[in-house]
Amino acid sequence: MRILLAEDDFVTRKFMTSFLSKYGDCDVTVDGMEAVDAFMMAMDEDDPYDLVCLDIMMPVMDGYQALIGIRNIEKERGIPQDKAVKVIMATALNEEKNVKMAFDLGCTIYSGKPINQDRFEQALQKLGLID
Amino acid sequence: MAEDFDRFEMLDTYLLETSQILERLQTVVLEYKDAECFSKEAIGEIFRHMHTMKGSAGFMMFEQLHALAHKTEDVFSYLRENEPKNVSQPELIEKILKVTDFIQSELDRLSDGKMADTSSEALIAELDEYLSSIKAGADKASDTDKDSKGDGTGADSGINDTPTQIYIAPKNSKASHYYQIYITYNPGTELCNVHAYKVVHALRTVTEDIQYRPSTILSDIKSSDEILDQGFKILLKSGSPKHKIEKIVSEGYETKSIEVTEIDAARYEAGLDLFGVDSPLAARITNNDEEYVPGDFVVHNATPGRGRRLAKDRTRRSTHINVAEADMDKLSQLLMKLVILQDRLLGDEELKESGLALKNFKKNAKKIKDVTSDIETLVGGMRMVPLTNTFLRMNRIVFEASRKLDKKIECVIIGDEVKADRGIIEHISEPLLHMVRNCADHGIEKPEEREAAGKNPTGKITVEAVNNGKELLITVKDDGTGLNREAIIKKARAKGLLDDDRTDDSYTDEEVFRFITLPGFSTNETVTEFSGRGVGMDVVLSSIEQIGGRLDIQSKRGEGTAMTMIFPL
Repeated sequence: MRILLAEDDFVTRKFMTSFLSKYGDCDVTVDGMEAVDAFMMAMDEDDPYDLVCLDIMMPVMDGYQALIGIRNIEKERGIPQDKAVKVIMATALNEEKNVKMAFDLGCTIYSGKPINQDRFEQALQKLGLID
Repeated sequence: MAEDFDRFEMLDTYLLETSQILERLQTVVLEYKDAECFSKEAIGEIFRHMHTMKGSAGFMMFEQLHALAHKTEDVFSYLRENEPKNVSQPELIEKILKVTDFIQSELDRLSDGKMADTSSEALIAELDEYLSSIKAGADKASDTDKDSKGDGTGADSGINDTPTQIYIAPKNSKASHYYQIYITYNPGTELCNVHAYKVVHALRTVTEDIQYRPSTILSDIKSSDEILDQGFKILLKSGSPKHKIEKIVSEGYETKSIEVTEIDAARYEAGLDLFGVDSPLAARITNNDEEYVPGDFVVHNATPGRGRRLAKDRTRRSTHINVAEADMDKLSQLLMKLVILQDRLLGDEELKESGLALKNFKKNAKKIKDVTSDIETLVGGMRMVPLTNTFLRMNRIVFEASRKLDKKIECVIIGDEVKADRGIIEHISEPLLHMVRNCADHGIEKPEEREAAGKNPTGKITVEAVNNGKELLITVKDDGTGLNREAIIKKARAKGLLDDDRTDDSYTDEEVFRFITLPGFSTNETVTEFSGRGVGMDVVLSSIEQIGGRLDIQSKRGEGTAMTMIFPL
């Protein structure tokens, strides 16, 4: 599985990379803009990501903007909804409004931080991303 | 409450929504408790509620609840599609209530900070069996539509259906604590900023969020002097217990004093400006009305200390604040004191006796009175909540009692939208419950007796709230047998409660009925003779009186009893 991570905080990034690497190859970006660029690049190279993991609070573009960017690129290229990439937002922001906006924008999993690794794995299973 | 702010907002929302659905579900179910069977609309409604609960449980990844809601949905899907006849209504109701009870107990576990992971397998198996039995019954009843509609349930196909969106709560978030840490260093200590940074670094492993002052410990060497002078202040959010934090912090060098104090979330959110300020009005801005938009969470600069400043923080202002309940209580108390002092001051005897005209004084006194009374109204209003939840519960109580006692009882609820002070609501739940149970138990007669007395075989219990502007009246009324005045008087005589000089007739009903609220008066066996009313009435009365209320009892033999709790506003 190809995974893209966007996370600006060094420590969290290090942790998330090693955590996600269990499930596949994990590319790392440090802000929302870079994440959208990486996502587009992978599409162009015909090797798209299966999973995108976004932090919300990030420089340049936040996670929401990155999510919109990603969903727009998919729309532009006529990717059907069931083929759309699964997007996980992992964030310490845990207000209902934050969660709701994420889902409205097309996020697949919203995970509070610190990440509950067991539940995270369960969710990936439910989505059929891992066995 | 105070420390439960937004960390659990999703969970809170889930709990709130699900319990509202449960309430509605029970209301529908109880409406049809005595009916032959559910109407088509009711079946549809129950199905929809189950469907919603299934969805939200899936979203929160509460597998057991998800599976149970799914199975119940199956049952109702079958009922909806196939409309089988000869389904026993009491049995069906019993099954639904079992399901709602299970869900309710899981909700309770969740609000206690536990996981909703009680196995629902047994209950699901029971429902499965039940479903097969009604299917079998239906098949027998009508061979014709055996294969016309299939089994109509979508069978078990959906049990593994993937929720399209999933929410994962942060790990251990329920256990988050907030600490205020204050460290001072020995005079003359050099590089205090580095010592301070070491502390922050050491805390890293337990930190969920941190703020500290001075925030420039790494970039500005002068911060060392500020620390020496004013100490190093940290606000920490962490899942770790206090002793662990203390241990980590105390490993630093050159420290003169270390204070670790646990604080509440509101205080934490109030930030470093309130550090060490005694009993702050712990208000926290929650931006309730503010809508976020994408881009609000772009990090503009990452200064050490408070860390990040977000795009949204620059432009918007909040309109709502959350206040800790304890502070709200304190505010009410202080206000009460203020009003008393104001009356004392304005009505001061010395002023009156001075004989002065005091024109200006009187004018301003009136103004102050107006202001305090405005504040009273405002503060009072903030504490008010509708009685709906408390009242609707009575439906269920009456239903259960009627089942158990083999009586037919209808429960009528009036005025549940009336608002009452939070404190009153907390105190009346128990008495109300007790009074309603008493009505069902001892007030309402068995259907045969009622018919013999020329009454409607179905008894009626009315729970009603009225706010008449001066008082809040909550009445529990039944159309049952009423209190037996003679029996009470006899009992009171025997107990020596009556004045020997007075005849029985000279006692008013009010005086007589009051006896049943005396401790020990009714626990005697003779109670049953006057309808047993009064079991635990002393407890009821004392809870009411505790919050400044009183109890009015009206009763007419053969026609019923009405008990009214009266609370001054």
